[in-house]
Amino acid sequence: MKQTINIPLGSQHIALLEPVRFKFECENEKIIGVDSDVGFVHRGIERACTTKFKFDSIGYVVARVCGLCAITHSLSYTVAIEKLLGGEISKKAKYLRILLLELDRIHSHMLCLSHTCENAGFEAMFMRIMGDRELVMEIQELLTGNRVQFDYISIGGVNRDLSSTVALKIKENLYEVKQKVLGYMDEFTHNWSLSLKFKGIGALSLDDAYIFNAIGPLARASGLNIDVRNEIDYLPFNEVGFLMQTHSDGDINARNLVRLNEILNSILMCENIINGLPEGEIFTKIKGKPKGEAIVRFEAPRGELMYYVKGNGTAMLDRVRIKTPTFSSIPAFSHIFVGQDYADAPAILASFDPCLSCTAK
Amino acid sequence: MFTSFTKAFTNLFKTPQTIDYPATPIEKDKEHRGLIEYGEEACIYCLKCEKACPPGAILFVPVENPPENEKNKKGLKYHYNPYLCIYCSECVRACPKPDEALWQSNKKSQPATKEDRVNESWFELERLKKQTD
Amino acid sequence: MIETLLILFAPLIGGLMYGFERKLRARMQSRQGPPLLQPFYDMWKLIDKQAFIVNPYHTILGVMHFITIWIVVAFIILGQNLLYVIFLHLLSTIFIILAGFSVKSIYSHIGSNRELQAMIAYEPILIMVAVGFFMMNGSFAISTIRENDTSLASLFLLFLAFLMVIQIKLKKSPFDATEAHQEIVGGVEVEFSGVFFEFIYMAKWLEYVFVYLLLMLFAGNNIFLGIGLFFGVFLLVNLVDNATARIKMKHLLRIVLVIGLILGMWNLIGLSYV
Repeated sequence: MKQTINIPLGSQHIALLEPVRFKFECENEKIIGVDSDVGFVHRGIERACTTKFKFDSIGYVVARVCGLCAITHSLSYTVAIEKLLGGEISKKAKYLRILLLELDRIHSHMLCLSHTCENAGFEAMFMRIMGDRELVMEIQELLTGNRVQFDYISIGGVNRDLSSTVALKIKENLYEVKQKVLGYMDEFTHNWSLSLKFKGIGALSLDDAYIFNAIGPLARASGLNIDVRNEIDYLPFNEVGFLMQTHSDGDINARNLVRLNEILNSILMCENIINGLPEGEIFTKIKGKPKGEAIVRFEAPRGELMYYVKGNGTAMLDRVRIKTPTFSSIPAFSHIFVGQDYADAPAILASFDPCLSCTAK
Repeated sequence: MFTSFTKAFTNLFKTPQTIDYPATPIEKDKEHRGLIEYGEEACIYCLKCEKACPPGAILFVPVENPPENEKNKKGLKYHYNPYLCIYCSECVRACPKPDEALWQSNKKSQPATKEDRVNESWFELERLKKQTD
Repeated sequence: MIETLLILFAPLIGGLMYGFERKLRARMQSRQGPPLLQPFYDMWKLIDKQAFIVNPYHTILGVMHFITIWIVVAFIILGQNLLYVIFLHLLSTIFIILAGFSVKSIYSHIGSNRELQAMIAYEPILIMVAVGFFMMNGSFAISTIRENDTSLASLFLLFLAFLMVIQIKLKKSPFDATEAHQEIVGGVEVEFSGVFFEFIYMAKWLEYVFVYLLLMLFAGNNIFLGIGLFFGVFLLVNLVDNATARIKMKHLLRIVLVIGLILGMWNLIGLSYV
């Protein structure tokens, strides 16, 4: 008689935001083997970038790879093309780009936290965090004109300026978000039923994080000190008050705390930018056609995003290659699930923050 | 746990955060990116907006009764597909007369039904354009 | 006469209670919530859907579950023997567990497993409550308990243990691992469809009526205390549901059995010495 049962966390499930398939081999609800399958949302974007669209519209195409880190894709592609064309953009445009990048990080982390709570069975917290996230969506709409797809960045700068009424509203809303995030930190650490579900579950040790090449908040929660914002120089992160947040436990609770601390650091950076915005133009025209190769890395909310762009002197590009953060985390996922209970599997999956549209572009 | 408890209790006495859309209309901010609008008298038919549009939502197609304008040498007419448009306003930035000939409003597009034949009429226009190019 | 009417309309009363509870829960999360008659709109929709019969035993056991629990509610209203009512309720739970095991779906099996484990946790407490009523009133008959004075003060520790059982029976956090819809997609209910799912849905409404009728027994012949208990516990159950997460099955067993047995034993030993 068979000793194990196969439980599918199938491609369509209540706990998943986007389709992915896991097959768990379990003995009485304890997981002993994992089999995974991605690629349900493949749309062929890399091929479309080299055949159907000219190089100056691809910024809008790659923004639609993912809904939550859309601005990071668009920004990476634009910085790669600016490197190939050899143009310099003004300091004010750089500061405005960082402002939008950090606002995007805040709303993406709030979505991930609320999804983790819902998968642990705490629906009231899910509704509360989503309701508070509306404050951030409002200021994004005032700044760029739309709530989710910003279309804010073009080759040579940004599309819209920051007026003083919008700046005031941003500061007010960010102050309210900060008070609410401090309330969440209190709730996450002191609620006894959440500690039964989060503390000590799904832990990734420091050695395993190094061996399996974990990136993003997953690695920082285990104690690994890596963050792409420390290592690049196309945008001045050090001048606006960036600080790397780490923790040492590596379980679900540690990842939540790292995300909450990153939200607080992003709020600080946004306030510094608004208070110290330099003068200048927001757009400088850059002419020419791209020729050569360029590689650019940025820190999306989920980890490291890499773009490789190759041009041959015409309006159509030769090759665009995107490496997304969730794809690099899949070996770490499959290692953590072994040995946990099946009842914890949705909560562990949500704490990784998987973005499957990015993975299967 | 007690903060959640008291918060759940006090929420009973406040109004809910839900907006009853579409029974209650929502006022959009005037800088919200909406549909593109066209002023025919000021257009100089340079076709820069058609080249700049990423999904190809603006087409200038030759028709039998073209609009009366001395710059319209080839008898073209402006067609706009609000269902292909991504509201990026690249066309407004490429236009030499941005507030008189082409500008962006803050209206949202309305849903279409099968009787409107949105896709079929647009494919006919694309075929017509490919023949005359 | 009035008892016959109450028995016939018991599912409808349960449906109204369920609809009101959904609205209350939504208001606590600062949302608007569905309309009050939503369970009945769901009923009309389900009758129109196509029903798949997986195998005949599964469907018959599901329908028997619904009929048995209606008979349980009828016996409470007519004032029969309390111990008999509790064991008949156990039979209806066994029917749904067998229905869960009779299909090949893995989610159904895990749901039935968890129902069985939860039953081990709360059945001793229900039997101790019945024994407590016997020691206070001298008989197991519900009609006698309803005519005597209230025994809330002397059975207070058993009342606290009974509050934990309410959370398990009504499938609310922190004890709702039997119907964990984010993990096992509904558990036992996942293989029912169409009008047969409607029977399981109506059985859920009747559970509400059963649990709250048992609760009002603690009030004896004092009607105002009964109504006050009903509204107070209704609010308390929903407030705790919105303030806690769902805990795993092994923690549920440990917490409910240990605390429930200790409280119950203290109360019964205390009663036998007074």
